[in-house]
Amino acid sequence: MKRRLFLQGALSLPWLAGCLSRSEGGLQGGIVGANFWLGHRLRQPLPRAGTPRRVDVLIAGGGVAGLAAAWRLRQAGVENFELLELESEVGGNSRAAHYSESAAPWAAHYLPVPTREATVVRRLLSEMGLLRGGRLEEAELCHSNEERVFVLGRWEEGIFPKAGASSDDFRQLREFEEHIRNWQKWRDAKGRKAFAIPVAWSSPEPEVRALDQENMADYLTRHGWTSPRLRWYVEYGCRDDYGCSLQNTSAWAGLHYFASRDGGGFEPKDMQFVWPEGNHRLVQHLASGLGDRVRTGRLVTRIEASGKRWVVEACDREGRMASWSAAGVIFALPTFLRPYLLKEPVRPAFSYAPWTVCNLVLERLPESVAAAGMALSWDNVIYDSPGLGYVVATHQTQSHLQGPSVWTYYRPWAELEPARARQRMLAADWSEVCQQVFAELGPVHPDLREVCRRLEVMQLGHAMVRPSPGFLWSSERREAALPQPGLYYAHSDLSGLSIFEEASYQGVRAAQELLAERGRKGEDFLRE
Amino acid sequence: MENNEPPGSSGVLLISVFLVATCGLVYELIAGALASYLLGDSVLQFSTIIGDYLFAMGVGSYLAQFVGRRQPAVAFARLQNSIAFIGGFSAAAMHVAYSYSGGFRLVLYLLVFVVGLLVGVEIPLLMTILKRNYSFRELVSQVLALDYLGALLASILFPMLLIPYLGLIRTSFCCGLVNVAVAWIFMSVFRLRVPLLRLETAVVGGLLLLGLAGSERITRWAEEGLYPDPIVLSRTTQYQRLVVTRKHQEVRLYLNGNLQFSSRDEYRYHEALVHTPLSCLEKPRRVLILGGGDGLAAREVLRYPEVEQVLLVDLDPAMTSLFRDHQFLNRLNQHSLSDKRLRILNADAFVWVSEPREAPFDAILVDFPDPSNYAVGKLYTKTFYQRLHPLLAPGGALSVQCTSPLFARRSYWCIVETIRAAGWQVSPYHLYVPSFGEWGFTLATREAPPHPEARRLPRDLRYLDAAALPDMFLFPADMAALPSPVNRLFDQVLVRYYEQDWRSIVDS
Ligand SMILES: Cc1cc2nc3c(=O)[nH]c(=O)nc-3n(C[C@H](O)[C@H](O)[C@H](O)COP(=O)(O)OP(=O)(O)OC[C@H]3O[C@@H](n4cnc5c(N)ncnc54)[C@H](O)[C@@H]3O)c2cc1C
Repeated sequence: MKRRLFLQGALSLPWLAGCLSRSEGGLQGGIVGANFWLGHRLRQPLPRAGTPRRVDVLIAGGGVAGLAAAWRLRQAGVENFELLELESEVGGNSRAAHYSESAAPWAAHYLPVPTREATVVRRLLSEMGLLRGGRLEEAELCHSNEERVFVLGRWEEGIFPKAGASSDDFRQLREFEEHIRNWQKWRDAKGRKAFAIPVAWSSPEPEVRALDQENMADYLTRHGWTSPRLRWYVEYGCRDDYGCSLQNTSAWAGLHYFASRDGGGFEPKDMQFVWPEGNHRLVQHLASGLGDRVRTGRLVTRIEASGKRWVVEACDREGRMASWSAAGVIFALPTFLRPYLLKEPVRPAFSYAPWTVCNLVLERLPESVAAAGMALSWDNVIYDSPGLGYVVATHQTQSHLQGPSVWTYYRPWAELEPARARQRMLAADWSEVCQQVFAELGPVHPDLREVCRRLEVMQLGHAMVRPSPGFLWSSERREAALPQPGLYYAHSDLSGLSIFEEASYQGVRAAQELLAERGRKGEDFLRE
Repeated sequence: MENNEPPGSSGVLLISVFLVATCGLVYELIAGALASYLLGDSVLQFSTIIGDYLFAMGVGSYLAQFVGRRQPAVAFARLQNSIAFIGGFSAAAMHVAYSYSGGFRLVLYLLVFVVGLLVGVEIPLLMTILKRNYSFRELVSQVLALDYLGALLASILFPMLLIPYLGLIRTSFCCGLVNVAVAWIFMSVFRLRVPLLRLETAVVGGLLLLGLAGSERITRWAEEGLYPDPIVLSRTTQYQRLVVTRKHQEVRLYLNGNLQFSSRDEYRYHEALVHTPLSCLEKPRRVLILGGGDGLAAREVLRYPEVEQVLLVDLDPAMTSLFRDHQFLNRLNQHSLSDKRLRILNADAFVWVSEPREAPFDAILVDFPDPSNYAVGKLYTKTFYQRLHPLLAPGGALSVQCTSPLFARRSYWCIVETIRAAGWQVSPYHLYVPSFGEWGFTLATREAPPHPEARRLPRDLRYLDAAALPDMFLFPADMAALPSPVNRLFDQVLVRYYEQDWRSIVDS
């Protein structure tokens, strides 16, 4: 019964929604990222798999968490493992598209300069030559101008919309910023920050934890911050990192967004790494050297204990089942899949925000980029609009304002309850999504349609775990990460926040738990 | 009053209300959009134009009581013709006024006022005509409802369809034609047999059609007005708008509206850019030019018989092929771009220098447009200048165009400081180029400080000689060095300086 449910669920999952290429009025594209074949195959009953392949470790899921686990195992000399990934490429929400105009992110697009506690990220950046002798590689940091916002018919620098703001709006903004600075300075008796990245290093003091019970909207109101602009600005942050509205974000998470990125001792504090292909750059580094240990196009369908080992079953593109027998399994899949794969009870505390992401391939930049104020930035935000705006893939590589480019448009479905949002999102076909995107960007770039050659859409039904009030400090979240003998959990959702730092932390943590159980403690990558 | 209106025509008349309301708002939006395109600051432009327009409509409504007392339908048809003519030609007129006269704002507000005034007369006049068919309450609510509906339609159509597919000038002609159609509807519904009126309608309709057909030409003509001399060639490439003008023997090149050179004095600029670094070298063999797609710097480089290879890296293939193949442009660069010793590579220099696949060069000449935005500004950052190190052979020299040390003094010294911070020994220099004014460069080397020697200069230069060469390195007080921060990729102070420096020149 449950199994059938999972398969039905799988059919409705966005990544199974079908990959149809279309062309309309000269515009090409379609809904991508979907393993149509799997959905199709899974309508038929699944045959049992043959004799399992024996491996030492099996990693289920090739997102950042799964790849980070593999990377950590290899650092410890564990080479006998395989990694199963559903899509045709690894990376999960940190994949990339490759067009002749430019590479572009499929979802994750930036990495803030790491905090002191983000030791895994620091280690990775050093390996990649981006952090050397305490200095960051300047060329890879986001070039000027980083962000602009379109408000009242004009572009202006930054995200907070200044045009038309009253002196009271500005006063409230200053107060809020001061408030955030105070939280950044806050330390508990053991010297821990209130809001750390990774989340695990945050202070568990009741004073701070209590903030998780409240929603961000109430928190702002309680402090007298009623300015619509300030609230839009704060909500922009919640939508950007969590896909949530102010009401659905816990005050702890809302403050975390603003207070946790403290620059890690680098100046200026607010820098970030961005690449044309987004965080796929990091994925490529993590995945290098894995070779044929990575098995793509495999949908993991079941994980079962068998004596002291674990049997993992997966289905391939042709509907053929295969199975693996492993001494250790690292489960690097989103937690909402556990009821289906592990026959666990449902965990209602874990809820996920859907997102629409589009890549717009442009023959050349529209002339309107230069109109209305200032030139294109990396991140281009539109005030008071359902989407977050667009990021420009060629920002780091071009030194001119025209020419071909790719824009990635982001739309979190934050205003609706997730199940409804998912329904609404999946009901739209490609040409409807195109219409919505052009309608939203039209007032800003009336000539966008003319230069857009291709528009590809990715509908991510369970894109990000939602840090709703009460979730981050819940026992449900803590317990979900506890291993069973030989089975270890690694996914960013276990942190309660979807960011690269958390995904890589979770992967390394799970791998180190596995190593520790084998009595190979070794170096702790999670600490300095 | 005419009394020949057939029964059942009020539906058609109500549609007219809707159409005129739509057109009325479109004219207003055209003025607002044009003003914000041309003058910037769209909040200010839109709000002043809306104010002007609404005020004019108020005046028009007031005046409506004096109009068409005897023959309201004829008056209304005439009114449509006037709106069609003035509104229809408004976008073209504003474009031309912007290019050819100093009084753009005056024309703008005047046109907006006149159109607003005429549109203001429309609705009261229509109500007078319709009042026989409806009760007063019905009339007011129906007409106003349609009026607002028309406004809604206009505000949706304008950004989503009209601007993207027609552009401003054609949109305004098309709206004019709609007004003509309304006049014609009135003439047939009321069977108005006023011969002059028919003629008027036909003439206005004809003129608008002509205007529509010639919109392309009007746009071009308006563009000509932006340049002091006649345009002989203009081209929109993938990367820029390229315009060549010519008056008598003087040829000028503009990229995106900015003057790049004048054939009258470009020799000064290019001699300074090229011969200063080359005179530091005993025997320059390989030379790299970054930018400079016009081939003028290449012309100077090719004077040296010992130069064996020149590589020119320029973004825009349309630019380099134009200056290679166009028969009067390649006379300016003396066919340098077809010289056997020269190779052209079309690439973004910023990307290209980060992965050079070339052996080092003896000299590098850096000739990019001024750092007027963050994109071009990348070519003036510490990272960029650092990436040039592996491209220069030991003992080689580098020159960089650095904007004006007089008009943009802070920008100039910021560039010099940035080159120095990237690990180069620098010698700033400048000269006077009449069509640009005082212009600055930086000469840089890696090991010993640069040491240009006049004896190495080619013989037949028009500006540089033993006297002029050392002179370029002296900076009088009003251009003297200013302490400056370094321009970095993630914090481009230079672009902000540049904007402020030039704005203060333009404003003063
Ligand atoms: C729109 C969007 C924008 C984002 N932007 C950023 C950003 O700018 N910066 C940032 O740091 N983070 C960003 N994130 C968060 C991003 O999700 C994380 O950074 C990180 O990629 C999460 O990695 P993960 O491994 O935890 O999860 P996932 O990426 O979800 O990895 C899970 C993997 O498992 C695979 N899988 C699922 N089911 C099965 C199955 N049954 N069998 C086999 N394989 C399966 C999936 O295909 C996927 O590869 C963004 C996320 C979204 C959705």
